[in-house]
Amino acid sequence: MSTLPDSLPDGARELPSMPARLQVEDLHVEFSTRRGPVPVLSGVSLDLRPRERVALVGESGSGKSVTALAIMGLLSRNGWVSGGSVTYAGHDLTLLPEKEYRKVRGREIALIFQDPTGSLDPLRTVGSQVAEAIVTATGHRKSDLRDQVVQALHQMQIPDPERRAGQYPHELSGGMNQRVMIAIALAGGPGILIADEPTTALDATTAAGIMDLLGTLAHDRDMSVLLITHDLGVVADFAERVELMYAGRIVERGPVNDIFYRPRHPYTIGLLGSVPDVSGQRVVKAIRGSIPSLTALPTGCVFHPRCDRMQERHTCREQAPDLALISGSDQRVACHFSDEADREHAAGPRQELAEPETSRSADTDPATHPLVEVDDISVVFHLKQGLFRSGGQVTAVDRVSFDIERGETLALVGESGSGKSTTARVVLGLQAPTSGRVVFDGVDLTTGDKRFPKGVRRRVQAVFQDPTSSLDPRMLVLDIVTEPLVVHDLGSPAERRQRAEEMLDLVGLHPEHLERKPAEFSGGQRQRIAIARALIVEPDLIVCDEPVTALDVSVQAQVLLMFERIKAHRNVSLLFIAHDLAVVRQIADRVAVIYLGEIVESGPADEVFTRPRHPYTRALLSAIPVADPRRGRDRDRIILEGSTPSALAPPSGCRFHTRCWKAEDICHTDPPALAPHGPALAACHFPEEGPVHMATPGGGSR
Amino acid sequence: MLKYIVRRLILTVPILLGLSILVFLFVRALPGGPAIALLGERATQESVEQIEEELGLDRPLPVQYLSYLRNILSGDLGSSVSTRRPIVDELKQRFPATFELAAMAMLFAVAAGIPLGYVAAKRYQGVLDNVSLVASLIGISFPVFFLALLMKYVFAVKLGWLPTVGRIDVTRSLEHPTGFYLLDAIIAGDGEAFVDVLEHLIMPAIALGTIPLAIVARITRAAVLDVLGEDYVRTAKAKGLDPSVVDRRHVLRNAMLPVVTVIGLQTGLLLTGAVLTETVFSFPGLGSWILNAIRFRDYAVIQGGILFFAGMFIVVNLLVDISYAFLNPRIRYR
Repeated sequence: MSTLPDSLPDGARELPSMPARLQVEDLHVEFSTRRGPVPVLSGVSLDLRPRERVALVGESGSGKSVTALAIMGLLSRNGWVSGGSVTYAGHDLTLLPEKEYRKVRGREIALIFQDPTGSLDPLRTVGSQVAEAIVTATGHRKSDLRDQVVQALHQMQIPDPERRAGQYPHELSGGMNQRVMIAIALAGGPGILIADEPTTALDATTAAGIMDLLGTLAHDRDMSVLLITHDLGVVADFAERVELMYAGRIVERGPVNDIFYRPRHPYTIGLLGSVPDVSGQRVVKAIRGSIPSLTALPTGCVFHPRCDRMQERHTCREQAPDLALISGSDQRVACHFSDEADREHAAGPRQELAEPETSRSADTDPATHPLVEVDDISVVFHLKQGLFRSGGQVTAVDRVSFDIERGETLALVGESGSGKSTTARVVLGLQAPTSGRVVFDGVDLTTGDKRFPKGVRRRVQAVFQDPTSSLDPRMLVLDIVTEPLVVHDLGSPAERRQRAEEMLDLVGLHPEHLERKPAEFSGGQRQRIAIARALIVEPDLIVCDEPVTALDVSVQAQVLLMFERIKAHRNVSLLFIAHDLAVVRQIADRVAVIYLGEIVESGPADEVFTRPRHPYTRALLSAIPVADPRRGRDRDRIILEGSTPSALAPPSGCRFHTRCWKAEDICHTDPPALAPHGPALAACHFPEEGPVHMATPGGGSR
Repeated sequence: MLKYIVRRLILTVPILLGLSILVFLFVRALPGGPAIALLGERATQESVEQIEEELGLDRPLPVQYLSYLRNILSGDLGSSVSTRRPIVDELKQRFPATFELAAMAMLFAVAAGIPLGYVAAKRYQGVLDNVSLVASLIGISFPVFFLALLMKYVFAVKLGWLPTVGRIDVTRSLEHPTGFYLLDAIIAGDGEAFVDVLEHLIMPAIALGTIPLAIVARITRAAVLDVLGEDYVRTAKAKGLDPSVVDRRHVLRNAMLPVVTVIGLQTGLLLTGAVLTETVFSFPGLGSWILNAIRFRDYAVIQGGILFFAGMFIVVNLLVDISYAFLNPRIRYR
């Protein structure tokens, strides 16, 4: 098969039979900044044919959301279309007067966003907001408007739509609000739905239901969907075609299978390699460097400074590649040397570049006690209602126990509201448990007057989710990183500086970064600074609360690999709090799954991931989108009913019984105890036995 | 909701009690006293002592306070030393004046401030926005009494458009069943009197309302800018709604939440800010009354007046909190 790039014009070979419903051609968008206009989109072209599901994939700053807003004519005040066209039904939308454009929005093209709760007006009932969309789209108010609203909510599979219609967004869960948003978007019967990260803000089990609904609706209502996402797992599950964006350009385009199994652009290959694999069989590989600033884009091919394929060839540095068709396929790629992709594949699987697995299992000395013993802790919050009366209580953490050995990584996995962060706060000594003990290296931290002696404080450090707000913006990196040394009165200023330089080196930053402030760094770099700050006092335990959640996939891969390196080199234990099972799979030695404050299953990572006993663990595993179209679409899908119950009124018996497909009478009445099943513990009356259907990874090269 | 209001009202009792002690002590800590104020600085020791005995000021402080408290609880705030009038009567007469003034001032501040702030936000960083910023800063930093004097000089003395002092033309006869002169004029069906009262209110209200106007305008601008950047505004636009509808239904309503809080706080401050304005315009309200009382060390008046102001402040803020429950469905009082 020849892989010479073909320079035929757009559309000459790609499915000529079906005209596009929406056609974006050579779209350029600029934003004004203090330093002058900055190009955010540089020649983006894409088609959306009837009923087609296209994924526009990219990391933050790649311009994917701007593309959506440009199509809708909703660019913010300081942005404008500086070239190209957006053609819909024979009209170039970019030339439409604002008044005409309004007739397109909602009726022809609709949009849903990432944060469903923030996307709804907090002062109006969801019903009135749906009604407003219906009235706007149809142009008149029918007498049965209320019925129409209830009907629309019902079609979004919102239970009890009559009651829900009268509620406010803050009374609904994120998943429910996203369903309301979809009802609003579809009120005008649009031919095109643009979904901008529709599930990113949602828990995995909720997200799976939303994507399922979008798929059904698109099919039933003859809609084309442009799915904007950074999550390759969601893409693999949902899309037929993929457009990959990098720095305001499309760098690769093709049918979903080609993109996942025969990626040709080095960025696509790198991105796929960055995705943690929940089956644990493929190891993450990171792309080096970071996304370029739009104000200082590299010359030639924008990806060349990070490219492994370039090998110092001048062409890449001097000439921007076209998005050229690979002959004999529907795939297009913007790379001068895309034909080398085949050779790279032939050279071997990309797993070979994985870091050595050094400390997968902790070196435990049976003679000594574990580093951390969390013994039967509960945290009860008393809600105040008004000024005098108590408003009930919430048991955020309910009789949780676990140990962490020296050098071991324990992952605490759960969805929002599960109590995992509260548990982390207890271990950090930021939250006193209502009952139970935390023993650190033989010292009971929870009894006695002087909780958390300073010596222990030094040995337990923390890394939090949001690297932006956890670093003081007014401090220099030097002061941030050395602050723990100052607090614990360790070393002279010169020694502290030297330690700080060593730490920055360890986390992949440079000594000159010490004199800068956090604002000058990207999210991934800031998280590295936070990790350097935690490491500088040589702690025995680092509590990481969702440390990579706020990061892009490729950056996440870099940080995860860094964690692995640190684990290998310094015998440090990690308590790793996360909701993303694929990330956990990458880093954890042992896993504990927490649901509504209770641990429902725990054990060695391999065991829990391959033979989960608890139905909730199974559902969580199946809800993770797998970045592999065939494997993802083949796997057993469990879509949970309803949403997580309120912790204010947890269900009786087994707390999971309200959503469990295996629940029987005993589950309603008797809470199951954590009982050993093989090397793992599970709290279930009817534990699953067999291995979970995960198949083998086929991503990248086969 | 009703329970909440009752609970809040009960809570005001300890607040007022504590305040009454503080005021009682502070007033007595002032140098001089009512006797000296009445008799002059050259009064003999004996005459001072005689007056103090008459007023009961020679008794120990706790005894004085307890008898004072007993009187308050029976609804008697005492009488002014200088005018001999009962304080309750003075309050009844003067409160409507200050209330009318404060209400007009706030009306002015809100009616002008909200549109100004809204327009400034819509023309973000435009000429109008910058002009309003400068104007607001001037408004906030301009001393109230100076503005009052300036207006008085220009509009009353030079141009003669508006009356200089008082609440109503002294030659006009108007029944005062309520004490709220605007209301009284309406009850009497006297259009001329209504206009006359209004003319007397214009300058004091503008002088008093300027600072709240500037603050309301700035807060409105900031709130509208915040809300314009919210995702739900983008949602509204994506529905294809007319921009004016988006602003009316979604932007302004949400932006009003912080503005209402500020209006409440400012209304409380207006009552006290009235002291200067009332003095300049010889407006017979609470402010000028208390100022005189301080001059004459009229203990009972100062105590009664300050307690009354505190009570008003509490009531206004309770009203704001209650209005919040109606404006914002996320807040539910129980």
